[in-house]
Amino acid sequence: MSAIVSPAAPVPFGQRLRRSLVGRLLRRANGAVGVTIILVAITVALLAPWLSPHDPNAQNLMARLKPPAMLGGTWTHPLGTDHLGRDIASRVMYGAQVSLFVGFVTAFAAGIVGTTVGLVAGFFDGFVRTFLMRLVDVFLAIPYILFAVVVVGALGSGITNLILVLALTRWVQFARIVYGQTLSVREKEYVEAARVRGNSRMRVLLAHVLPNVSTPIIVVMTLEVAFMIIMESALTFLGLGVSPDTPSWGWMLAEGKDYMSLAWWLTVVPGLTIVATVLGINLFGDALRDTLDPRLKL
Amino acid sequence: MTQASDILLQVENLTVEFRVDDGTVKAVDGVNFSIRRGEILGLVGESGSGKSVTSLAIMGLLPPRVARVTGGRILFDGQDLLRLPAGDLRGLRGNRFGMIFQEPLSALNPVFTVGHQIITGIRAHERVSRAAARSRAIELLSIVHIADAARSVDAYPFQMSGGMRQRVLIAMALASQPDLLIADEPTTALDVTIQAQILDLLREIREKTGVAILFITHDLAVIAELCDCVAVLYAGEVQERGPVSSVFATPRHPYTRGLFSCIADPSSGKRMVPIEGRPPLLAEALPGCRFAPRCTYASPSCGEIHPTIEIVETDREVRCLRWQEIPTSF
Amino acid sequence: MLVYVLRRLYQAIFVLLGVVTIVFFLLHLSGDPTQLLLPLDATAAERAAFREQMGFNDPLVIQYVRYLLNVVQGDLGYSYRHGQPVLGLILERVPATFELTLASLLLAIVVAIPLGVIAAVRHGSVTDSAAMAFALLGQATPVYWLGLLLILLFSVKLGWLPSGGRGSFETLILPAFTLAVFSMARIARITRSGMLDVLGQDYIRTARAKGIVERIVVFQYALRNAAIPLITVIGLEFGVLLGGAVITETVFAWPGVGRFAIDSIFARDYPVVQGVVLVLSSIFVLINLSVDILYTYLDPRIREGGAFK
Repeated sequence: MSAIVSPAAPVPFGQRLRRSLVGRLLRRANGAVGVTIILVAITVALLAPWLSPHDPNAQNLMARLKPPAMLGGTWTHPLGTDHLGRDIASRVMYGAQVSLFVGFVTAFAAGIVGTTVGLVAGFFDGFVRTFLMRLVDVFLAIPYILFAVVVVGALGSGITNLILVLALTRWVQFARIVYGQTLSVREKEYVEAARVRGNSRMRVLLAHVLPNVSTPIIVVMTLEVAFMIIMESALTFLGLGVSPDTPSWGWMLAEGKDYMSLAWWLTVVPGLTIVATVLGINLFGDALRDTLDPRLKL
Repeated sequence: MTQASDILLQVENLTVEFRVDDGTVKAVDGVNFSIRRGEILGLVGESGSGKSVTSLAIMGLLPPRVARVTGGRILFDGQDLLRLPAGDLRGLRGNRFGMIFQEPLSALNPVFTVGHQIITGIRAHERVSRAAARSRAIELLSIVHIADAARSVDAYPFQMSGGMRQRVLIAMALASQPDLLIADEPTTALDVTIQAQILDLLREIREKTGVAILFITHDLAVIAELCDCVAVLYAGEVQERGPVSSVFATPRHPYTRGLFSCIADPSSGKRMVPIEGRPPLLAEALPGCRFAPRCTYASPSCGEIHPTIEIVETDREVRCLRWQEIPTSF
Repeated sequence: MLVYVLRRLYQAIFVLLGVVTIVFFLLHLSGDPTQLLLPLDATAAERAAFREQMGFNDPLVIQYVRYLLNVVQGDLGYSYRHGQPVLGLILERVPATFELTLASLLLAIVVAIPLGVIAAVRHGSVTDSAAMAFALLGQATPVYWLGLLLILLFSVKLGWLPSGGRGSFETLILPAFTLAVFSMARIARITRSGMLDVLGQDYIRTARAKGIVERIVVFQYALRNAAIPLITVIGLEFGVLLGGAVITETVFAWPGVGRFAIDSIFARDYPVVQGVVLVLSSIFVLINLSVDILYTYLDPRIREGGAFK
């Protein structure tokens, strides 16, 4: 046989990096922008105590409703002050802590619950599957805000209950997708082979099925963080979320709306922060999906 | 002696480039062949040889963002299809020439009845009433031997068998009485028995209507069954061309010879001899003959000089430096 | 197909049952329902009497069955704040919510579907990127914030449109648009990906091979194929909008059931909240059921099923 295939030349490091997952992610416009925004948001949230110019809760009634620096204010308060004289820039930075924390924790919690349900429902036939899928339908039917209203009404508000409510609402998103994926992976030969070899069903589920459905889970979890942030701010805006003492974007919007005609930046600034953060996470999630498996219909 | 007006389709030096990650590759590189009126030409080659791309180029159905014709002419009845405005080409498509594809199920729209799909093809080119088009559709279905055509016309594709669906596709392609029918591996996805029926049908249609057929396949047995002439494609180039009887009796190109030895022949007692190696990736730009790496007759110059088409006798061509030295018997 | 419809109906009933169960248990989660139903300053004696009267001392199972039977007969409880049965109060406000939700859905569809189709047809062009950028932005914008901004711009600064309440057509414009934006973005993206999928199918290639004009290929064939799953999405979207309406109604002071629920929770009028959850969930389940049935009707593979002859 003639030598058509020459021995592989060593691939230079730069090329290896470019072709690796991270490299492919960053080459896409949405991946690069998304990652940047997320990193900025996380950094600000983590370093808020050092980055923020003021104490977010410090009231200064002499300096109420000051506009941002670019629009007639001073640089002591670069993004202006609210109706109690609190510095908006600092509140935005500390607010990032709450939003990102809630976002990640709830997405993760919903992911664990939802993935488990999806795996079990997809893998096991009969009553288990029917019951679990009906359960998914039930939770899908209840509008999340009303669900939050009911739970908060029964158990009170606060960050713990907020996380509980959000996780209980969104786990269904994971369950549905993982269910579909499990159903199709189940038919694949390597699963059958594993069963035939005598592995217990649990082992097959964890060792063979799970890794092969993990791609959509990662993508969905990323996109869910974004959704959770919006939901958290919505619930807090309505008064059903975190307590008013915590600086959070939702509260800033809730309080700011009474002063909209006098100080529109109270509404615009926190809102833009939310939009930017969510956009960044969505972009990253899209890039992740396109890189890992563009055929996913998410 | 063939008259120039006998030639219906003339593909001259066709080159098609595809866009890939790092640049472009030539899926089809300087391909030449022609089809006379009423003639059946078989285009044979492995996957990746460029046969489907050629047919799509003729139809004008290459995916616009990734593929481009970068050279040559496609003369249909004297007109260069590549120079025609899109509207005019569309007018000819499905009208003067039609195409049938490999997978009959996916080629038919699942949410419309078979009749509806034939009718829309008819009405795309002629101003006829729905009723007239419908009776034409029923007529077409009976021409392709679909039983109970009057009822079948309202059936959905999923309700039909694979063979029936392929017949429907043929009926659709014949709706406007085209001069040329391009068939891209129409029997590959079907059972052997159905395959034989479809081939019989195509032969019958050629007898009755005089339509020319460009039949694309990787199966030499089908070529022997159906075709008048054959062109062998490898790595985007025509390697050998001529009447089936002649090429099959005395293949001149080592690749063609290789294809014959790949066929199982229980009666002769000979073993199948596969062709070693694999076709070159389109991106690999090889100097010299593209088949040389796998050729048992290759000489050093085969790897350096790119062979051009040489005439063996009337209507027979081969692209090989050493064709005269290669034995023609097995 | 009848079998399928009956089966879905059967499933829907179970789902409704599940919703009722969850709502029931949430009421009793906190331990003492009187905390939620009576004013905070009620005395222990009043609570005891109330508990006796409402049957809260009975075993949980009995209470559950009683509640279930009540619900089925239309008794969703009694609002102390308003002094009337809950169901009546809710039904008074449902039309307002429907008006808002339907207007939003219509607006979303009218904008998003053509946008998605055009983006798919011009895949990779500037139009496509612009449309998708708009969709991304739409999905990143919190509904209530958008509402506030629009009020700020069109009511406060420009004075063109009213900032709240329900009355003339002008009052509908801002809330409907606000609610529609998120759906618009989602529907546009899904339409686009659905169309892209369909346009890459073999049967579209066949249609082109027959020489059919591209405009007809896209709008009469591809869209028809893409429409079927799209309908399911739109149906679901109506349910999402019902939920989103809660926020929009609050921001725009729109007198629908959503705002009613929010007001009631802060007024500790718990039966109303329960009732709203039940009503909206039931509507959602019904819509889903209808959409599923519509889907089976539209897809001939499911409608006709089985072989010919």
